Amino acid sequence: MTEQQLMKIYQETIHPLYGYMARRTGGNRELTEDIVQESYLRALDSWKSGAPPDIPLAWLKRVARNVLIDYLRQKKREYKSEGDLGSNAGQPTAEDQFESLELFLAITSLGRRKARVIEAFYYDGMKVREIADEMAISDRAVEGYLRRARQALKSLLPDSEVDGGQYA
Amino acid sequence: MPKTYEPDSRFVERLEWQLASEYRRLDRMKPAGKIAIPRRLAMAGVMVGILMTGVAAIKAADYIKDSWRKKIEMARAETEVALNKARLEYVRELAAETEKRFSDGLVQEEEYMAVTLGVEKAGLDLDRSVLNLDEVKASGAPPRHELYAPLADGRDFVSERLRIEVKYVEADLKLLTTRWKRVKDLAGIAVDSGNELDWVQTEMDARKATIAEIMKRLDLRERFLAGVIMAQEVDIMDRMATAEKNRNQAQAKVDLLKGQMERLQALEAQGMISPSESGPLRHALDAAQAELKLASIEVEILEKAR
Repeated sequence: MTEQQLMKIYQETIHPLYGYMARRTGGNRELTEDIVQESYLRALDSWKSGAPPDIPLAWLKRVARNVLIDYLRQKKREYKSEGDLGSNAGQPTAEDQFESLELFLAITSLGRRKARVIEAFYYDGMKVREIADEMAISDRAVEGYLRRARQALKSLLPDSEVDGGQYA
Repeated sequence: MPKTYEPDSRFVERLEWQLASEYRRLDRMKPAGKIAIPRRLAMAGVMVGILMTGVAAIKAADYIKDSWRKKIEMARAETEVALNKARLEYVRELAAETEKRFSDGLVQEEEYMAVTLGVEKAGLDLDRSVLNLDEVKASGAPPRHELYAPLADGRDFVSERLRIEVKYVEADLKLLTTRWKRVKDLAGIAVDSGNELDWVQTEMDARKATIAEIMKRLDLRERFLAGVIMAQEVDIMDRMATAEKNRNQAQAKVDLLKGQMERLQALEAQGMISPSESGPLRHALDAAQAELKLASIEVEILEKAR
């Protein structure tokens, strides 16, 4: 991979990747920037000696998501006691960010398909039909996954607004 | 998309700069014989070099100083130190056993020397990793190898690392010199065809060329820090020194293989070997000549960019 290719991929993916990660961190700018930076550095390590993947954005999103999950699992207790989320003016409050991160962590513990449907619907703003097309399943199957995922999240997070709240 | 979900433009620019810088740093760590750099990339590298001097580099270090990335870099550097310590201990034990077997006459001098020099090199690996860890602590950034990198906390890590590299290559040269003496004796009594002697000589020349290149880099670094030359000049001159070294080594390899080819052809002419036996050598010579051509093109490009 040449430097030019890398920069082109960077320019094409930085905004969508940042948005993808920011939605999952509840708008925590510092955490989002760290994860995005880490994802690109891992991409450089992985792609430099060969060719980049066919869909670089998908690769980057997958890595960024895994980095966030690892980070949250490690920091879960620290967040609860310290509220160390570095909220700045104009950004969601530390409380909101904590709830967002807790919710994301809970979503990752659902089955792979349920997690994918929930994230696509609530985080990425995709319609049921779009999700069905992407996953090659019916609209009814998507709705079924959404319903079961919400029920599972309710039992994992009894105090959060999963239905009818900000994530409905 | 709400502003919360859009990246800050300064972050985007900084990360772009950091990726380009990291790409070039990894490129510089590649072994000899790298592909020729197109001129505009070389010039882009020079422009980045100008930006990297001073303010931009400090800002980048500040940026990641307190971040999660620094923790990862520290952990990585500490692990490297721990691994090298363990390796040094292991190699020392091996050397002690080999010394005993050498004194009992069970191993040759060359093997004993290889193990002893292995201890020396393991020690240098440890020194290098400790230096890298010190740099991460001082700068909050991964270790930097560019000749125009700023000092970190008043310390010149780049030069310190280069001096370790010189010692490393000198250790290799010691072993090759011992081997050369042995092979020369065998060639003298016609036990060696001369091929291995040529090969050892070429390897020794390559190590000497590497030492000369590192000394040139140290000199450039000193002149840059003294303000005698600017970052832009340092980068071009550094690349030129490396490119010239690569070209000289490629030429030496071609000469070596040509010599071996001539010997084989002589044997072929006498009917002592079949033409197919010289096939692999012919391919190796073609590859070496292609390598020489690329290395020469790289030197030409850099001369034009100077």
